[in-house]
Amino acid sequence: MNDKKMENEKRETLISVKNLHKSFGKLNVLQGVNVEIRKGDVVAVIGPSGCGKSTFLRCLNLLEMPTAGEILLDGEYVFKNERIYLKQKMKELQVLKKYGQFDETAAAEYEKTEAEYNALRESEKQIEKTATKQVNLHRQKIGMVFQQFNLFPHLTVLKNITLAPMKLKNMPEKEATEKAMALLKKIGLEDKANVYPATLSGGQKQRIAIVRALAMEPEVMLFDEPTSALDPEMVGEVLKVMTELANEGMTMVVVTHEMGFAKEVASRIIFMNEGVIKEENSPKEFFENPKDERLKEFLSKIL
Amino acid sequence: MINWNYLWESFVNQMFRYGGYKTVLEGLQNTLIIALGGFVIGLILGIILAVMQLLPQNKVTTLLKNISKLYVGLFRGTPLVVQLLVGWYVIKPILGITQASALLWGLVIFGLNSGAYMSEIIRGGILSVDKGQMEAGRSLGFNYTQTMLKIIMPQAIKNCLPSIGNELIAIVKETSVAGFVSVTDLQVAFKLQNTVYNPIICYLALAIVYIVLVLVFTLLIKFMEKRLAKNER
Repeated sequence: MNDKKMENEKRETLISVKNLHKSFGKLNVLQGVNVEIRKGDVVAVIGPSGCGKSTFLRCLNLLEMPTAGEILLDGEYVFKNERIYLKQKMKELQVLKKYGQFDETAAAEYEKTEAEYNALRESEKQIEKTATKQVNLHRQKIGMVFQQFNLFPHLTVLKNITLAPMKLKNMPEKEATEKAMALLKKIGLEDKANVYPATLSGGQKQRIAIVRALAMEPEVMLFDEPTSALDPEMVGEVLKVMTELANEGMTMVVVTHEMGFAKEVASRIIFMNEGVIKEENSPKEFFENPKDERLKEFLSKIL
Repeated sequence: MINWNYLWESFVNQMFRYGGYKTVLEGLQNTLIIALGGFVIGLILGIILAVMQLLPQNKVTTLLKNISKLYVGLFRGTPLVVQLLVGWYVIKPILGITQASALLWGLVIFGLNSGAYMSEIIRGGILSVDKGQMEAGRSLGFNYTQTMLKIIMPQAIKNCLPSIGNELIAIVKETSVAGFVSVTDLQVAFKLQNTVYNPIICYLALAIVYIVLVLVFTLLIKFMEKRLAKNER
């Protein structure tokens, strides 16, 4: 186990998340998530429902716009917003003014915060500008698989897979088709290339959704409860594809309720609760020696 | 008692001996031009207006959304005939357009009117597409416009094709008021055949021509629906 950990330290960081916050109105879903995902990591994210694990995953490729914090992909900013805290502080100080408690120290602090805010605003606006421009390029590097598959029903399986490489990477149709067929062959569905998704079973749809994301040759794959909408019979075939993918060295972040998969395949497991990461450990330690109270309770209920 | 034989003979005489069929053919042509032209303008305008209402919210798009809503409100809030009359007798002189033919003017007004209805149809179609489709498109790296064009729109149009067909048929029949701005459409053409006080046959014939026209368009829509339904097993 220690060797593996050492190895972990050496590999370069792919995604780095710092102090990530997300709120929907008054509901604070993420309250400061910090995590580093290195190349080749298979990170399983588990936790009770409503703890923010799906939101966390969706924040990584900005399907959900975070409220504050920073996300780096390959050392490039995908998102950065720290100034919101300073703004909050300024607002709090302004409240003092309203109640006549705005003395000299408060005034000095307000001025200092405002100066800090303005300085940060300039730099962050700049980062934001480039990040917004690059967001579609970032998303090309991040494959995503959804609970509900979300295959495009008006296109054949083959077109589902080749659409993105052809339009976004200007890949010639022949090359894209060959690649798609090779991927389909790998999951044993090459005979389904020319049918429409409506004719497929849930397991087949999800395997094709995985292949569709892989066709863009992403650096990391995000799985948002990929087996939760499947018949129990079909869970196995999807997990098998994911296991193969992990063995090939793909970096993966998997939100899942499949404890077996987390135990066998993941290199690290994250337990989330109340919008923060409560525990992060290797699978062995995680299941045999949980430290967090809520995690102990969680594991006792599901195992 | 109605003397059908006499009425029929005088109608046939009027149509063919005195060249009435030429007017009728011209009327048919004008009706088709206005209906199809208005439909195409309406469809394009409708897509634009619908998308304007559904763009992700920010300051600029809120303005666009309100413009679109105002437009739909104006054109759905007034009768088509009033729009034709206002267009012809008020807007056209104000804009100082003297060249435009009644046909072209009618076509544009029909298109503008149809656009308002079409936008609601297409908005419904877009809303009926699962939210996950947009997310899947964006997560692959497509931008909003690409996702809209390649993924959302084809599904949306398919979903609302029956309603679009409805609109096409409605516009074919609505052309019968184009006569208000001196367009010789089918209705006017048949009215002109009423020379020897023979309204019975004239208007029955007019009704039959409309029914045939609508039947042809219905078949056309059915055919398109069938073609687009190929991805449902």
